[in-house]
This record gives sequence, structure tokens and C-alpha cells, in this order.
Amino acid sequence: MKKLFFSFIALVALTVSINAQKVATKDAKVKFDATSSLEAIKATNSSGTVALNKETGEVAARVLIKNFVFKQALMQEHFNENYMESTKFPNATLKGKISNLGAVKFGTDGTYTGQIKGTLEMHGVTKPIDIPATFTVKGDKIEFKSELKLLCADYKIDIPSVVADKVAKEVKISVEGTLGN
Amino acid sequence: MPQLFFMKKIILVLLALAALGGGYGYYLWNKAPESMATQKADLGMPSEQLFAAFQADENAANAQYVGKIIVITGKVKDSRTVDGTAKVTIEAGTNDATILCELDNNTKHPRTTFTPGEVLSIKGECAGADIDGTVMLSHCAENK
Repeated sequence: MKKLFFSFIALVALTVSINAQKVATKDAKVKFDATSSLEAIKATNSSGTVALNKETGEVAARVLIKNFVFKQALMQEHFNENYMESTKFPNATLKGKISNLGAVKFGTDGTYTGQIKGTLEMHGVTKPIDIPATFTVKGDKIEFKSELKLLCADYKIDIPSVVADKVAKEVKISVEGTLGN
Repeated sequence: MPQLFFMKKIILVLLALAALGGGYGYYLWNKAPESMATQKADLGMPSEQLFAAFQADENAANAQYVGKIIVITGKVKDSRTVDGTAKVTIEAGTNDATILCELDNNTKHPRTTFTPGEVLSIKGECAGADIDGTVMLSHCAENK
């Protein structure tokens, strides 16, 4: 009976420990910027999901395309229907791992730069990705920030020649938020 | 001479029409997205039903529901405002089953906080499912 009790306690402790290693947010702010010299094209998504396993360095993130908000209705409509085809491809999903996990001390307060290597699936295309991210550890919270540049052509996002000069071929994406239990 | 007079008039009318057309084009291009409060819903269902559809087959549910304006009804789990964007989580069966509704920034909402446990009917555009299975509705407004 005693043995069973201690096994149970050990199991509970293990579960708590595993769960404590996982931190996430559903409130990551994702900014999209395809501004060209002729037109300001910007959108914000306030509901990005990012999950991190501090023990293994595994990272998963997803952003739903329909959640991007533009100031102009027509721009939002073109973004969803003509470029991202968000009904057919509703999300962009990143799966990766911090490749220099030893340099990121999630147990100690401070700011660290991690390198995330993995894949990004968007618009039906999966491409390898290797991006830096800044992690600021403050107690049990981790603030993160990352920026990446993507080429529309890499993800088979066609820009019609009529508007080619108005849309940047390289899109800037920034992601930031706070991870917690 | 009268010909020149009419010619001038025609040019003035054409210029006025061009200015009107340009003005209307400028208005259309800069128009903000339509408020969800005034949009007609495509369908309605209990929160559990929408969540179950995504659990059963995400690809099929994406094809069926993403982009549709759906009214869901369910119990409020929690609500919060992050960086000016209000969000309400609706229960959808078991403890982890939820639908996250992000309130529309182009709608004047009578309220942005909701009481946990209250039954809410909310309208929004289905955006798909998150990595943990949570189904998301975007640009939402309370359905009255």
C-alpha cells in the first residue's frame, strides 16, 4: 500500500514537473508589413498562439489568417481572398526547436537570444526556417520577440503584375508576446 | 461660338464626373471593414457542435466552416482584453474544449466583459482551429 502511495506521489510530481516545462500564450501579437514605396500595407493579428517546452526547446506556433485586421476593408478582402486564400489555407504554422538551448537559461532571469530551426507551413507550402528570437525571463514569465522576412514567391503567393509595384515582394513579420503557465 | 460653349460645358461635366468617380474610389479604398453587428449570419449552432466538427476532422471542418459567419451559443468561460482587443472564451463541452471569440474592432460593443457561466450568443467569422484544438471566431459581436 505504502509503495503504491509513493508511486502515485512520484507520478503526480512528474506530471506537475512536465507541465511546468510547458509555457504558452494565445495572445501573441503578430504584425504583417508588405509596405512598398507606393502603398502602406500593414495588418495586425492579436491572437497568435505560441507554445514552448523549456526542457526540450521545442516551439510550436500558429496564426489564423482570418484574424489579421487591416484598416481598409478592401485591403483585408484582397489579402484573404486573392493572396493568402485564407478559406483554403486558414493558418500559418511554425514547428521548430531552439538549436542553441544551452545558451537560453529559462531558469534564470535575463535576456537571451535563441535560434529557432524548423519549418513554416503557409499557403500550402512548407519551407525550412531558421530565425533568431529574443527571450526575456522574468520569474515564471518569458517575454519573447522575433522578426522574420519572407518572400511571397517562396510560398506561392502570386502578386498580379498590375499591383506588383504596390506590394513588397519581401514581407516583414514580427511576433511578440509573453509565455506563461 | 455656341459649339465652343457646349464643348466647354461637356468638358466641365466630364471633369466633375471624373472628380466624383475618383472621390468614390478613394472612399471605397479607405472604407473600414464592415461591422460584424450589421452582417447576416450564414448559420448558427451550439458551441459544442462547432468544436466537435473540428475535433472529428479539421480539414473537413475548415472546408465547411472557415470564412462563414456563424452564431454560436454557449457558456462563457472567461473574457479578457489584451492590447485593446477584447476576447471571450466559450465552453464547448469538456474542460479543454473551447471556442475563442475575438471581438470586432469595427463594432461599438455594448460590453466587452462577460460573466463566467452566463449563456452567450455571439456572431463571428470562423477562422479555423488552433494548435491545441481551440476553434476561433474572428471579428465577433454579441448576437442580439
